[in-house]
Amino acid sequence: MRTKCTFSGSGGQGSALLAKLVCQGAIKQGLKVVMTQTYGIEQRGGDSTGYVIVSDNFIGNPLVENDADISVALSPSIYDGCVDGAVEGGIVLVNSSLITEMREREGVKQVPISASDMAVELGSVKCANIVMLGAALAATNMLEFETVEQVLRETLGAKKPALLEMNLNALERGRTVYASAAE
Amino acid sequence: MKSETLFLKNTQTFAEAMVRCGVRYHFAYPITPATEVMKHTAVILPEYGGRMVQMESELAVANALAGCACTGTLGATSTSGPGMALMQESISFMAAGELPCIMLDAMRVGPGDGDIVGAQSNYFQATRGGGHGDYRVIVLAPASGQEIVDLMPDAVKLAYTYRTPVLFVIDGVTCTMTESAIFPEAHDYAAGFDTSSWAYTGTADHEKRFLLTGSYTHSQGEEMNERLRAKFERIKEKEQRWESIQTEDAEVVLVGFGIHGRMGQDLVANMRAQGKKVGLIRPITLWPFPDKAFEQLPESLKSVLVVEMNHGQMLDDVRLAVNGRVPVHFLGKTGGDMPLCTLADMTAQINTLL
Repeated sequence: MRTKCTFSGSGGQGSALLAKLVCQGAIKQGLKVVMTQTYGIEQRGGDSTGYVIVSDNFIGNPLVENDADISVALSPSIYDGCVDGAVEGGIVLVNSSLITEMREREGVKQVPISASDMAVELGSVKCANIVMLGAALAATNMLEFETVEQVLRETLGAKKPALLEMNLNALERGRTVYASAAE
Repeated sequence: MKSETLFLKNTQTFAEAMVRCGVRYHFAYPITPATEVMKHTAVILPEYGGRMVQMESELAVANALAGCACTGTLGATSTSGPGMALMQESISFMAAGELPCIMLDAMRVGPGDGDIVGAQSNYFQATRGGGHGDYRVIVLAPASGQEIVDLMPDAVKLAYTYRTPVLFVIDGVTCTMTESAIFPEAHDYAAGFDTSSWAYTGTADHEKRFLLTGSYTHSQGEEMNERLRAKFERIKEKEQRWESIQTEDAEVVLVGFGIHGRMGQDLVANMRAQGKKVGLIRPITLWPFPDKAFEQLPESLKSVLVVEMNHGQMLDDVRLAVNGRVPVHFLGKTGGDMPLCTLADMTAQINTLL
């Protein structure tokens, strides 16, 4: 099985961290994983995209070339790119706290999740990316939920124990909210 | 350092691999997308008793590297196209002086200052010598982080066995990609080579030696070139490396190095699943070019497609190797937000040839 992901947002929203956490989870499960960054110099413009491919066999083509199975759009500026970059049958998780105008694309399932608002309720807007991570895990079978919980414990547990509980709650919130939002 | 799996950017993987294989001195000057190699070695080399030295320019880098190599010590550098251009005089000197070293060209868009996005635009510069004179350097083109790790011991052995600079060329997209690689236990491969017969380490234990890369008589210039020619012939005969996949009954063979060779593995699998007879030849040494891979082309072959992140450079070598037996087509691009042909582009082109 191979899952192609696009994690996109504005600088500071944590899309790169989101991509890295998925990579670490994949490695923990013994899967192959490749992460590429935004290819051009538009990464200077304030938007940041992490492309991740998780696979159970060797990844020949390392590019996500407008065929993402799952996309996370954290901010309005990258929303169009996420919708256009999805594969037929793909899922786009839309941060509806900030992205207020959505447009239809046939064959692509868009799921609005008010990740930033939920993150504020949980303690900090900064964990909006983790809410989306929980939702992305619920939307795909690419990784075990428990693996990512374990990654969070290892990466945040040592450095920022105070933030660990909030992030674990955010992950769980994303998972539960996806099921109802996707209906 | 024990065997371990690391999840690193491939520039960092290059740094780890070369240090774990015996490089103790890394001379460099910052340039995108190679800078992260020197950032990484600056941190890890002291743990191995070595140093990263940031020089004042690429000219200084290349001369420091040559000086280090003169002593028989394994040194390295990492740069991109504009930096490689500035280093060519010293690389020519090292080829003439038969001095071993490891180099990385993290290729970006040229000519001139070009652009910082990845490219394969330095194939000619890498494989034709680059500097002045009748010489070649061994050129290795890994296609993944794991292959960087796997090739590094060979690179050090080649550098010392043939006493020559060894150049890695990796496109900038692959360089900035992050993936896992399994590193074997660290081993200093350079330490296994006896340099006492040629290294310039003072006259305490041997007679005065001269490093002549020019000639006092016309015959000396000829002798030097004959000696180098014989060495290059030996390398061409013994050191061609490539990967062939399902070429035995192929109707179209894709030829790509680095990232396009890697993508070709998926392409062949996808097309074979549809019953389409496509094969792949992925050169791993760019010099010597793997002519031998093209010796036994199947009767079924209708054409060859070369794909590169440039406007057709390795294409020339493929045409020489195919030697007119079947048509050789080309697909390539350089620059842009997506600075390479996608798998979809490559698939569409192959479909027109079947």
